[in-house]
Formats: sequence, structure tokens, C-alpha cells
Amino acid sequence: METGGFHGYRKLPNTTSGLKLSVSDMNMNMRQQQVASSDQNCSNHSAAGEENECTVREQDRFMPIANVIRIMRKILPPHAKISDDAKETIQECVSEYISFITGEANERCQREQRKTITAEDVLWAMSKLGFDDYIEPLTMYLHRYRELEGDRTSMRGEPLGKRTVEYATLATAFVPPPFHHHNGYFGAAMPMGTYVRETPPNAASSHHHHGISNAHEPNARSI
Amino acid sequence: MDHQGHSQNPSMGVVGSGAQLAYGSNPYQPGQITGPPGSVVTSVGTIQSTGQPAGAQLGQHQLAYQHIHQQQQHQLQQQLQQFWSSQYQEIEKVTDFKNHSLPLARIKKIMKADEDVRMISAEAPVIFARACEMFILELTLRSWNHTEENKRRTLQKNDIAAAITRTDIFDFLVDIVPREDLKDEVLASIPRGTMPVAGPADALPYCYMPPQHPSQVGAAGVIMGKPVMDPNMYAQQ
Repeated sequence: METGGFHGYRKLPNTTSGLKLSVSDMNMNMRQQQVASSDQNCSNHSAAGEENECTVREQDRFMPIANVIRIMRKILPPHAKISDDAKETIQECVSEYISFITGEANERCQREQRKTITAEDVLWAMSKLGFDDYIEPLTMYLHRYRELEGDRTSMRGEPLGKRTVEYATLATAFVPPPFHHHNGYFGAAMPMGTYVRETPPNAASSHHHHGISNAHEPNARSI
Repeated sequence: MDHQGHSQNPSMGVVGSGAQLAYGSNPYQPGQITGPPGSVVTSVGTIQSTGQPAGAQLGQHQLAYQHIHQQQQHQLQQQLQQFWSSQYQEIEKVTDFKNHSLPLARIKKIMKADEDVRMISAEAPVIFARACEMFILELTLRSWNHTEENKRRTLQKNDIAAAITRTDIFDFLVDIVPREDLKDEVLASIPRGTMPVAGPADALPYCYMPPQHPSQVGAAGVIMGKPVMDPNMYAQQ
């Protein structure tokens, strides 16, 4: 499992720099002091620079090439061949795409003084950067994800088909302190972070789902 | 779908504009501006006018090539519309969110390669997994279109370079493909039959990319990694 390869976490230097913290933010901040970490030591934040200066392992900079090829073949005719340099180029393009969208989403988070990049931030960034065709299918994908995966979380009792309803439920769920302890429990089980949950491709166990970190986020809206 | 059809046209228009900027000194430009295909033909006209003064034959070649190219682009637009429609239908039927086509851990690691990124909600990598799949499919489809234009069956790096050059939302990828492959994109648009020997030599001056790549990127309205989009062009909801 890839998660087993995570080692050597260190705290973010500015982890306690927030000045205006709500109660939930303070709790998050406490957890962040314990588990927040930076995987790479990168001084240059630009997308172009990171590939040159990051100390991250080479294989971790790209999507697995077998997955990439399998996806490419889904849209190519059966007789099509793909050169090796084309495969590698697509790998690089995907990483660049993730960094490109993430950078824009993160800027929005910082402007709004939030610490967590949400799915909505990602969709907003795609729309802003011109990937309009992606928004409609991905919005539906997100809704279906919440409908189906939401059943498996202890924090939400019913499938939620509408955004307003689920935010109301999330608001309720995130207020009581005991739920933060719950997060802490899973933090112990997943050393790389309490909030970000990894789902291995073949995981058989049930898992909890944390869609929104802060129920008061102003960006909670439909696209 | 109207939405999808509409969203593609501005992108193609911008690509044409970029081509015009690249060949600002082209004397054929006024007469050839008829849209994205016309822009490509414009570059062909420039090269031919340098090599051969025979206007009549050049005109016929341009018209023939323009027709073939328009057919190819029309086919691509149809394929893209079908692609987006099928994506929506496919997602309507998705029930398995555990077996993603791309590993979430890897996505998260790439996201966190930017030290500014602090915390990531669990849903973000899930959305990215699907988004990246669509991105790979779209880029592959557009690249394969170029492969077919050149009567090949092997998708090559220069096909990807051509797709990136022709698609405005892929401007952020320009640095990933070397300039030789970008040059191939221009060479590939030259009709094979007109100048079997002199073509490559004549094409060199026009394929030359200015050393100040940032300035050229700026001319196209892109700051490194962050396209400066016209809000009106992409203001769709």
C-alpha cells in the first residue's frame, strides 16, 4: 500500500499563524499541530519549479503509467498504438493539471482564510481556468459520491440528495466536540493526517467520510 | 449539446488568434481569416508564398486542404460532444467509489507538492481522480485526431503537442512539450504534395519560436501557469 510509504513528517512552520479562529478552527489547529506535515521540502511554489526542486521520489510525481495507459485506451481505436514518449508526456500533463488546478483552488482558500481545500474549491478552480465542460459531470459525481458514501459515515444517517440538506446536517455534525474526538481516534489510526482520508483502491473496510471541514464556510454553494 | 458546442468555439477562436499573432507579418493574413481552419491555412499560405510565386495552384491547394481540415475538425467536434455526453451518462450510473481509476494517495501527494497547500478534504482527491480521467481522455482524443490527420496509427509526442497548441485551456501545458514538437505541429499542417523537398527548409524560419518564450506566452494572454482568461469568454453557468 502506498500509504505505508509515508515517513518523516514534520510540522508546517506557520501552523499556528491563524489569528481569527473559531472554536472549530481552534480544534482543527490543535490537531494540525499534532499531525500536519509537509511531504516535500520545496522552496519554489511555482508549478514549473516544483519538478526541479522537490525532493519527492520520482515515481510519486506522476500517476502510475499503467493507469494512464488504460484510460487512454478507453477512447482510442483498438488498432491504435501509443509511443513511449507519448505515455510519459501524458503522465507529466496530468501532474501539471493537478498542480495547476490545486494552485488556483488553494489561492481561493487563502483569500477566504480557510485552511482546507474542498471539492467545491476544486470545481470552482476548474471553472475559473476554463474547464467548463468538466463542471457538470463532476458536480453530479460529487453528489452521487455523497449519496452513496454518506451511508457509511456515522455522522450522517441518511442518503443526502440535495446540497442544502447535507450542509445543514454537516453543520449539526461538526458542532459537538465529541465528533472532534472521533476524528482524533482516526488520526491515531492514520498517521499522515486525521482529516484527509485515503481510500486504497481495494479497501474492504468501511470508512468515515468528512466532506466539509468547516460548516460555516461561505463558499458552500452550488455551481 | 448547445453548451458543449458553445464552449468549444471560443477556445478554437483563441487558438486561431494565437496563430495570427505568431505570424503577424503574414501578407496573406487579411484574406485568409475565416476562423480556426483559416488560421492554419494562413500559415500554409505564408510558407508557400515564400517558396513558389504561382498563386493559382497555391489557391487550389489551400482550398483543398482547408476543406479536408475542416472535415477533420468537424469530426473532432462531434467526437468531443459525444465524449462529454457519454461522460455525464457514465457518471449517472457510477456506484463504486472505492476503485478509482487513479490512486488517491498519489493525487494527494501531487497536490501537497505545493508547500502552500495545507489541508485537503477527503472529497477533493476523489473529484480529482475523475477529473484527471476526463482530462486524459480529452487530451488523448484531441491528440489522436492529429495522428489520424497524418495517416499514422501510433500516437506520438508531437500529436500531444499539436493538441496542446490547438486547445486554449491546455495553454498551461505548453512548457511540457519541447519546441521541436511544437514546430512539428506547424510542419504537419503543410500539404505533403506541394513541396516534397523544399518544404522543411522553407518552413524553418516560420517555425522558429522567439527565445523569449515568456513574452510570447504573455502575448497569448497567459502568465506562467495562470491563464489570464477573458471573463466574458468563459462566463458560463
